[in-house]
Amino acid sequence: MIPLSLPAVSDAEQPFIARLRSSATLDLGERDALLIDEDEVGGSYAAADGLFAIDGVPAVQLDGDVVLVQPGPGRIERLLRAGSRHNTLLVTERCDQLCVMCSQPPKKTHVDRFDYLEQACLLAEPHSLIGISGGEPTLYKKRLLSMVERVLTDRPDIQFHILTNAQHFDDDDIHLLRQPLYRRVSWGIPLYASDASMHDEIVGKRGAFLRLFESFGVLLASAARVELRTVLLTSNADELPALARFISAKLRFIEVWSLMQLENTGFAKGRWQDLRYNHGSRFEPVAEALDVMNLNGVAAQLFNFPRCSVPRPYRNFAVASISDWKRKYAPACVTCTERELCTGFFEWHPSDEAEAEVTPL
Amino acid sequence: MIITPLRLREHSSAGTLCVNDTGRFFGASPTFVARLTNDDLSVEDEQFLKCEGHRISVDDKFARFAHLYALSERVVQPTTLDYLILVPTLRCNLSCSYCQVSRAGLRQKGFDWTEDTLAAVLEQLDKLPGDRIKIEFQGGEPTLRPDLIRAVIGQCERFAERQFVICTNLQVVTDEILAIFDRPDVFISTSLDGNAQTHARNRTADTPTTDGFFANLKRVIERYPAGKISALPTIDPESPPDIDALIDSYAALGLDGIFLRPINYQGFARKRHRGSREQGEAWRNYYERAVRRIIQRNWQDKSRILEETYFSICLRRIFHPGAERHVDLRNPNPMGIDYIVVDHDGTVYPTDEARMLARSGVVDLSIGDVATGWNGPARETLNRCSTNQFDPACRRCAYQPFCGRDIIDDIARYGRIDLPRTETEFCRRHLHIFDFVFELIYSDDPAVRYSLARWLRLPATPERFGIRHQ
Amino acid sequence: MGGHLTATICCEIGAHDHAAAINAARWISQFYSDVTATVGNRRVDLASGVRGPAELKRVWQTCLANEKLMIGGDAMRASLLAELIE
Repeated sequence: MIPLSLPAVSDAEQPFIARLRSSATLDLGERDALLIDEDEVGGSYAAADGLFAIDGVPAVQLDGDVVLVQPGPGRIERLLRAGSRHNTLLVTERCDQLCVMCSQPPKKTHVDRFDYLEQACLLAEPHSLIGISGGEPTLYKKRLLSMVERVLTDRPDIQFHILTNAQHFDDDDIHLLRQPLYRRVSWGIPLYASDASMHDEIVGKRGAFLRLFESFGVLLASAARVELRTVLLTSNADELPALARFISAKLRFIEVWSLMQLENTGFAKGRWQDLRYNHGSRFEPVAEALDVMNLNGVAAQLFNFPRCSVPRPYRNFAVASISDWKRKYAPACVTCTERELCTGFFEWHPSDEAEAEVTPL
Repeated sequence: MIITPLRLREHSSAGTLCVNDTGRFFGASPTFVARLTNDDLSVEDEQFLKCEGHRISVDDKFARFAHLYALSERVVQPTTLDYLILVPTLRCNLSCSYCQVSRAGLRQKGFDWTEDTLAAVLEQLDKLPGDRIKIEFQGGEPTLRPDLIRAVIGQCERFAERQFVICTNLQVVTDEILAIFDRPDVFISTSLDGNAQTHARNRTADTPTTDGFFANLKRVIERYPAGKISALPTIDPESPPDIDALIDSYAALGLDGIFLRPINYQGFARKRHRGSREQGEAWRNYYERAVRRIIQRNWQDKSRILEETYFSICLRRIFHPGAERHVDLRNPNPMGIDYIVVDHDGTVYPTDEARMLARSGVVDLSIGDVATGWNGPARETLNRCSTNQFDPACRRCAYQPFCGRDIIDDIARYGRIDLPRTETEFCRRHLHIFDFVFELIYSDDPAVRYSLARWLRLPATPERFGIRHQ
Repeated sequence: MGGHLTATICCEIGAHDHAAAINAARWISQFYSDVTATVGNRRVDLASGVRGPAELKRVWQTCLANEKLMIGGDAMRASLLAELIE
């Protein structure tokens, strides 16, 4: 497991953004922090905003990272890790839904970090795809969109993928979302069932389904790019084919439907046995849903499905989706010929289950 | 206001086939049709129709836009020219009985591109805005002028995506021609009417010529990977070849696609094959038997997938709009916009059929010249009528979302484009083929489902291709 | 269609269905070449040389329903399409 947050001390009074640099190069910018001293488990840096020392990871592994130095709590947060394709910025921990399997259980308080996040994005590596998540990012819709638009304008090479429950889009947003800038934004939006009451129950909010489809109207009118996401649960597994039919009829404008296996963290942790659908022992509803999508010409993919657990005709739909920092493989995977293509397991997946379920290919 | 954008057709297998303007469909029972007619839909009916996009409240923004989006997938909007059919020479070294272009003799003068015509073609190629190009060399026999083929290919090196199809009779394959064939962006399309006997009867006449063709065909098939070579039979509907013999002659050579096309009402064919003005019952029966036989053979031998090309095109028109770019079956059917034909004398035609009509002296549907342009009133006139969208018959036809409009075919057969659709061969042919496709869509036979899934390039075989509603 | 008929039937036309029935009768032979239809006073006479009576009735019901749908929604369906094409 790759640590995203590390202990640090700093002489600054306020938090600040810095990009870590192990050596001086020609293009050191005003937010670059140069390594001035190091040992096997950390390093000291000098930035315009102050000095700081990081503990726990050798400096070479942090080279190029964009970090938020937090003198008060004594930590640094690695916001954008160099060389990683899986950087996601958390904009808030507040949320207005309460999904039964939520991996990031909401908090009532909000700490405004938008300025820091904007500074960080401007320092991102070329051609970065930056994820934005929460909580629910569009609880601060205006702030979010203006930040996104400024970054996209200053950095024509950057793209965003924003996770949202799409409960807050309205007609007034269309003129903004239609801008060519938003060609570089895709929205990851969950839909758990084609039946309103089932969806509402899973997300813990009555009326969510109806409000979601008002937002879909806005997004369609804006020619927005949407990735539809469905977490596979015992409650909705048998309804997947119906959901696939519904998507292939009415949500054809999406870029892709991501069918996702459950992550054993957050709320799902205490409800793992109740919620988790074992697709390895009964793949039929997933197969039928994929068949409907393929037949009707709408793209679909499987997230967090180890390749060996997917029957061969559907195996190429299983993408390596689990972020590098939270991924592991079972011991038996070492002999598997498809390991490089495989998503593996979440770091917190029960080890005994992982071991029991793998069959090296 | 709530609309029900469905069109209904009574169908032997589906029951009442109900097709949305977007192309989505289901098979319904007579009792459903009665409820629909009497405004007496049940709660289950309403729920089903709403979920499938067949009942739309136009004031519901999402429902309206979702419907518009799906509709837009059925409407063709090509813009840039990226597909050219080039005829560098009308001369040919064969004299097929059904020749559609009334080819010129090997030593006749004045039937090849002049220097000026070549220069004009190369200049047009330079002006093309896109990043990809497909060129089909037709004739006559285009390999009689490898120099012209090379010149065109050379001019296209700048395109990131290139595809060159050489339509050749493979009678003469010199090293020079082989060098062109060897390019990975070059594909070969030839005619193969069946076994040696059938092929000779229609095309090559004597034994040495026939043997020469088959030897060359085998030679290129052995030399190149699968998919580089395709062949088309031309079938005399009055004496079509034995189906298994035809399939065998293709399968033996590793050719998986068989495009069953009956003799066209063009060129020499008009004189020699008078019966070809209308394809009738006999042809349609033959066609169905051939497709069913292909299905059987695919089920018996899963190591390869044979397909009848046009059936697959129609099948994909139903399920994967936009995936197929068959220019004869699309709606609207833009003329002279995304593809053109440049004849041996530089004249530009909207389709190859139009070129053949001019060559036979039937009617001149040229739209310009490669040197001076083709963006004039002739093209505009054609484009004004090149759609099935507003036709009174097509508006009530369940197959309209999948069908197209071929005004050139109408002119070739009837000399006019305003005949009632249902009285034209194009319509009758497509009513028949879509009826047949839907018969197979609603078939429970696992062999049928297996072939349909392969023809649609699906990773697995779905349990059903069409749903039913009671 | 020569000589022998496999079915002749007569169907009632509902009070509100006259316009749709006229259209259905006008088009039915175009899409089902074996069928003829003649509309009278609140009735339609149908004949076929290929289909049996039950099937013939279904063809008529389907055509009638198709025409009713067109009368009900054609203008809106056409305008939706026009919205796209413009």
